[in-house]
Amino acid sequence: MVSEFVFVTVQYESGDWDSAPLVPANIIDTIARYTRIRVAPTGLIVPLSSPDLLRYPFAYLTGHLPVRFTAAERGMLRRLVERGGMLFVDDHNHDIDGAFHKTAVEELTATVGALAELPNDHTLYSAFFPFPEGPPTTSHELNGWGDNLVHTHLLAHRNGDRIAVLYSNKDYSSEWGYHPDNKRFLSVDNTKFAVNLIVYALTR
Amino acid sequence: MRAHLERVLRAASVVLLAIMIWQSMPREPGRARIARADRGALDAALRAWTFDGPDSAHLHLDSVPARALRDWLVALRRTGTTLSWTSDALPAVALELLPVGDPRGLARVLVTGPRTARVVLRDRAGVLDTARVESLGAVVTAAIPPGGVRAAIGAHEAVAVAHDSVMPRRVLVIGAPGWETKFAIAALEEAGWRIDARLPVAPGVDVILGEPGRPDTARYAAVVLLDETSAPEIRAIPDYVRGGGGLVLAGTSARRQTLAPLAPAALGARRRAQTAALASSAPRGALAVYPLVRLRDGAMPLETRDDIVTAAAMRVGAGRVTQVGDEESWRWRFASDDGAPAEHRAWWSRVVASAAYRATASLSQGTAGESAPLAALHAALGPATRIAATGAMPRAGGLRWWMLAALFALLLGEWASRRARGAP
Repeated sequence: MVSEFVFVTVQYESGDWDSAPLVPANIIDTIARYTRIRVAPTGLIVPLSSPDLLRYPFAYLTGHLPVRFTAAERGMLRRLVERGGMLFVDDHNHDIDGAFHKTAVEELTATVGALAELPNDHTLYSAFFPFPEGPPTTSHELNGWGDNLVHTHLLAHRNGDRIAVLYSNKDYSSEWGYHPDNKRFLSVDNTKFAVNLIVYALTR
Repeated sequence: MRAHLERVLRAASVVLLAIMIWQSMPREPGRARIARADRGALDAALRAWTFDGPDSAHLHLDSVPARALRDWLVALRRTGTTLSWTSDALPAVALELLPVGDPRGLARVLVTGPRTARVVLRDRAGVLDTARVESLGAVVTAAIPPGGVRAAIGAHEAVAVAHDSVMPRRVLVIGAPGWETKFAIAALEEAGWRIDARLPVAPGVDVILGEPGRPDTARYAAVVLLDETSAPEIRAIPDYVRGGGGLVLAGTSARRQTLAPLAPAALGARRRAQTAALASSAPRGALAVYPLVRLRDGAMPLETRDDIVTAAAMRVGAGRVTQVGDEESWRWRFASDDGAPAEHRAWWSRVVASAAYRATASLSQGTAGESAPLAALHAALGPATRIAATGAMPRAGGLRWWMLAALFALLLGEWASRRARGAP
């Protein structure tokens, strides 16, 4: 029997880790809608410093405020990445001059290593749905909010050829932060990229 | 009467003395000549004996003579020379190199020697490892070095080369997308296996790694099935296994009807994982597992845990099937023990290697030494002479102590008898 995928949101001591509470349910709905992947019907919140994090090799981290990891959080994140886990970090500010971006990148670099642009022909963009242009744009980018930029690349720290930390300035936390029932009002499902993310995490 | 006895004693003394003198006299040249070769002088001695062969020759060795010298000695013996040998306790060092089905081209180096001896293993580049000989020997795993491996105990050496090399094929993995599939593939890739995979993720949509194709021993060393996921390649698996291919049935994959006849065992009732124990130093024991029960005839348990069989293997036709009952082995990799990822990787590599089809390539490696020199010496010359244990050389003829004692006894008896009767 294949164990089910549990969508985990990481709780860290600084900042507002719970700024996108609707994202997990929306992604879980998307995974169930498009794939055969056995997915737990509800997400889970796991402290970044908890050894329980090692039971969930994929985790999601977001926020608006400055990020400062404790020593225990750094240690556990490092261990998750070394073992082959993956952390998806999304800048809820969509602002490269914002507090979250500056501090999160600094902390991630100090903890796991430098982040670099992920090429737009990376396997992530063809893991399920095709995204030949790279990461899909968000309405927040197109409306000029945040830093008023359309970010053409995601950033990543790779462990060998596998993505260990994926970092986004695109504010998917806002883009996907709605109740799944409202998906029916969209002409194009904007959560499809989340399927690629989860399928990639579960297969590569 | 007494005078008669004295004459008999005197005569016996004379006869015995004559025998002793005869025995101590030099033998006739070319007939009963004894030759010796001490350490280091064997080569020169053999040259001399070839033209003037002695009746018997004794060697005192401090190392095993080279194969050519041993052959020379055997030839000498066939011309009629009796050979014996002693040594200063030559150690029985022996070495074997067995390629294993590992993608990194590894070999098991099996070495034996006197108990507790320290063996130094070397290749051309330098020291590979050292090992302490336990009851039967020591086993070291190392990459197959060109030119072979040398095992040395002190100055005594054995040399072995690999005569063939295993050419590992690719491994085909089929399973549902999930942590078990991901980390089984990751472990095998990290161990050096080249992976093709088909991971059905949605109706009509498969995640493909490499170029998965119909199982064939020309392409695949093994097929790994991680669950009951369907894939077009599965139909060909029974023929592939009977033709020599390897199959790993993990988790519930053996429940598939078409593959059940290939499984070494049936699955028992699932034992739940002991999550708390994953934090221990032995996380493997905490994993969920399906006990393997009702092993078929010919199936062999490979691993047991708490009295249950967790892995078993069986030959099917020309191929091998390994079945493992572990479920969610990926949790082992994420256990708190620092060595867990490496152990998880090594375990998966071992499981696949235990079933893998092994295509071998012959290696034409010559060797300047021997893998078991002392055994070769025994085979050529027979066992060492027992008398050598004291360090004394064997002698043909010469004075014997009992003759001397008998001579004294006879003369003493004759003299005492004469003195007792008052004769001079």
